[in-house]
Amino acid sequence: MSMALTQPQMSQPWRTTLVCIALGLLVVVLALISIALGAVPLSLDRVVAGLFGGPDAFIISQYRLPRVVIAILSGAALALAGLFLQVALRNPIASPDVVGITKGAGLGAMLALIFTPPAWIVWSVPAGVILGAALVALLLLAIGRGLGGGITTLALVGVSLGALAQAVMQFLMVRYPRGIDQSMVWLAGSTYGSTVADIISLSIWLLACLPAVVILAMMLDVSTFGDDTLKSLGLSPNVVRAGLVLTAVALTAGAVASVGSIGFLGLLAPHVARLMVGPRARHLVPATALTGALALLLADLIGRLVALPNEIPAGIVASVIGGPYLFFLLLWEARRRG
Amino acid sequence: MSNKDKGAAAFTAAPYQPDTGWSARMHLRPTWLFALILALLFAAAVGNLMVGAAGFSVEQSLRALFLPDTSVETALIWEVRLPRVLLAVLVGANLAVAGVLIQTLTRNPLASPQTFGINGGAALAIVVAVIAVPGLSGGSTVVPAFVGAAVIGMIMWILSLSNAITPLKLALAGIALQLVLAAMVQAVLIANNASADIVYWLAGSVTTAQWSKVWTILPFSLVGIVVAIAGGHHFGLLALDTSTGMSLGQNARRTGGLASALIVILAGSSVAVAGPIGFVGLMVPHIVRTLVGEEQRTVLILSVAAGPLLLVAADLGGKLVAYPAELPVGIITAILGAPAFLPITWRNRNQ
Amino acid sequence: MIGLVSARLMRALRPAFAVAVLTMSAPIAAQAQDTRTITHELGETTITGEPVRIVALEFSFVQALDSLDIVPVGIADDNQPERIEQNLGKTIEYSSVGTRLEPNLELISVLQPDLIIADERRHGAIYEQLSAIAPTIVLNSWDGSYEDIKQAVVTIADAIGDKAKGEQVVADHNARMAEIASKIPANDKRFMLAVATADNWSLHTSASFSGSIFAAIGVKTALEASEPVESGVGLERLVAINPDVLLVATDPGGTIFNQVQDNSAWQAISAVQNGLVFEVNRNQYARFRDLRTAELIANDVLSKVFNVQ
Repeated sequence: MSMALTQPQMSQPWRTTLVCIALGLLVVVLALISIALGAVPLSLDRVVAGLFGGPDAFIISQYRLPRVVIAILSGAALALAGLFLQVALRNPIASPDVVGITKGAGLGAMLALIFTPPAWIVWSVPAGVILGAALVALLLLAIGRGLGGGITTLALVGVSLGALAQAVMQFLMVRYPRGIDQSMVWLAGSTYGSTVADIISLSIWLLACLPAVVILAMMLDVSTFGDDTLKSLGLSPNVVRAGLVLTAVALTAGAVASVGSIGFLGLLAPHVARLMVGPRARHLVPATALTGALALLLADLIGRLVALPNEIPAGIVASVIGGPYLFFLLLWEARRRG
Repeated sequence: MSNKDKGAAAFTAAPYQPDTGWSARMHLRPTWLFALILALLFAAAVGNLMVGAAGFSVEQSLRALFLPDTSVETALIWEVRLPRVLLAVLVGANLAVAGVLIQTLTRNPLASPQTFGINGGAALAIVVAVIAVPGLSGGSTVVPAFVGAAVIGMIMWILSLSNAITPLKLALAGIALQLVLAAMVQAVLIANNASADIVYWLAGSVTTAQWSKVWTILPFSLVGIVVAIAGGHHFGLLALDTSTGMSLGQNARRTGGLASALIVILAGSSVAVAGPIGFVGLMVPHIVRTLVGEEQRTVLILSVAAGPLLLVAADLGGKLVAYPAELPVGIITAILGAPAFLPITWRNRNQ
Repeated sequence: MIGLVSARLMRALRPAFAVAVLTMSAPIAAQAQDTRTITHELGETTITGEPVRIVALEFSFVQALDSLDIVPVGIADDNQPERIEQNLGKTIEYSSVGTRLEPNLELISVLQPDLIIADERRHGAIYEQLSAIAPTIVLNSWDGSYEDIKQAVVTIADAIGDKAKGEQVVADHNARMAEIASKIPANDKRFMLAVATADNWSLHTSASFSGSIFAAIGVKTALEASEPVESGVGLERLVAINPDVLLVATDPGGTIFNQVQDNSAWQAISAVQNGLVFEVNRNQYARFRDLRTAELIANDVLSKVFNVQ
């Protein structure tokens, strides 16, 4: 587990290009498989026809396609958020869920689910998610600054905020038990019920984040040698760090508002990408986004198919796959270094 | 030093070292402190006995306690409130001692049965076992609890042996592990439509305490705490051996193995009777060390009294805050404990 | 942010649009049959003709349809067909569309329904997609009172084009309930339905479905409250409320009900001392929430508690 972007390595543009093309192809293939497979078996010509209308239009265009697109966008957003947090906090296991941002978003959503009428939740939940995530991130930066400690302190402040949000969520579940089932599924994270309108919202949101992602990727690319390089280039490491955290929050909020609090993607996708393309930002950013998209797409497909006609929320599939990977990663790390 | 190491140096903590800073100057006499904590515990316990959903007067409660008869008050005091207080005492002591041991063993100030995922492992194993074997309840849940706690404990123990993983990173690894386990519990619950039924247990609660639960945890508490205190000196040596993790001698390894087993027994049996109650095992050892310093046996003995004090007082708070409804004690400890992360992190910021 | 909100607005407006398109695109059916506008929890839905392929996403809707002599083509039965059998007291032919929590929209769409009946709390978020499949009415089953449930029967009857029959069903039900109520001797016993889970109790109050059934047959509920359920309580609360009649709803498998039997505080409860504790099925008493269940509870009270047949 090499620390993000602190290790100089020969640039490998050809390798990165190959990896990204391969990942992109895999995403497309998996997306097509996801559209073709489901609770209702459809022949290939009916699938194609369904894209343009006809009797299967609902299943293909309004049910499976939106889920696939949402999974790709959210997966990429969560993975990038994880990468940025890992870099900003210089910690290989920082991710939106570990440092409490996802929990803050979840708390905001839960407050909205419980305290607004069912008819409002279409907009009150996204609003709660954004407010919750932003509040945790601002507290994170403010308290981290106040404590004046190093970067690890920041990560643990995030953990503490996440624990507090979790405690309040538990309090809400106990005091307002009527919405527990819905809250649990939402907290687990699922693409169930995604619509074309969701795609539009999320795309606009992510497009707005895109300039920040590109600029940060370019800055990180030059800061390969750490804070000193940034300073010599006239960039304040703290500003870059705040930019990374805030962009991560925006990406997380968008994804969580669409699919709920899916964990582990932000933790694992950057690692897998790093194994494939090495630590340089210009390689890592696209590879991480594609890996995240691929992972959530796969988790969603498995969740839809494995227990027909029931669904297993994609977030749970991600955890069940991601959990063992994390064990493996930690043990491997311990053996390699110990 | 390579560039990489230089970059890493900013947040690489040295192995956990006893705190000899400002807190060392204000250490109290352990004996007096012990007496004080016991007095507070007694007061909190009596207060807890006086308060409950049935809401009868202090006088009625005291009469039922000391002059038991056949009244409803007597039945409630002796069969509901007393086992509840005792259960809180035992669970508090278990978690606090487990916290001291795990912080010593891993030389990590952020270690606790909860932050290292041991409570989570026990909870997952219990949830799976209860759903797989519907009749399973009461005392028999300690078996899956031990298995779950042991598996996670083993993983964290192996990780902690690696000298390359710093304490703070190890703590983050544990927290990540805890998140995985929580997600898996959620998965099992959603798949079985059982979320609403089990949310109280999952928050950590002593609301449904009975004598049977007290008898379930008592032997494990007694054995675990007695052995921990008797071996306190040896465990203390583990804390002092900060040179390298891998150079622990044969005896030290054996001691480490024993400490691990104790942690599993203490934490696992707590989860089996009261659910995964968090933050007691993290906060109590820190508070005690701040007050009396580092001597291992002293810390252990004081934690045996301070853990119950925290949990009994928190349970009293949980009874009062939404009276006559009750909040699970685990939610109270979490709301108190989550901010406690901050000062602990602050104290270790320079390592 | 603005983008998000505007897209959300679009999404909110979409069902109305979809319905408009749907009604325009079915001119042949429209000229032959009448068109009704059903007002429900999430707005108004226009229904043309008499729907016959109906998908029901909650248990109580299934029973309501059964009382109107209609067998739904699809039911969100949590993949436990035995619950439907238990609910209706007979076996019917239908397709499962998955769980009530997350019904499978693909399976609903291939059934080609002409009416979907959904619950506000559980399915409010997918109303738009359901409306894209078929005209959808959203009623309140999960949070609904006894009166809501009765009203739902009439609304469903209206939606399938026979409102009079729905009113008749409710009138018959009221008559049967009144008959049961008349047989119940005058008493001041305080009744309670308590759900026993593996580790704690959930007490159903006067605002719950069972509470309103008790009120309908003229017996008191032990716990007066505005929230329907008090969850996660311990034995002490139960002792403090001290009901005279206790109906303990359990699922198969061990519950806390088994664990408290020897506790002297439990034995001090009035219902236990009078031998008026009855273990009942949790599906029927706490999950179904329909008119048949109401009559079943009322009859149980009459026969078990007052020994009147």
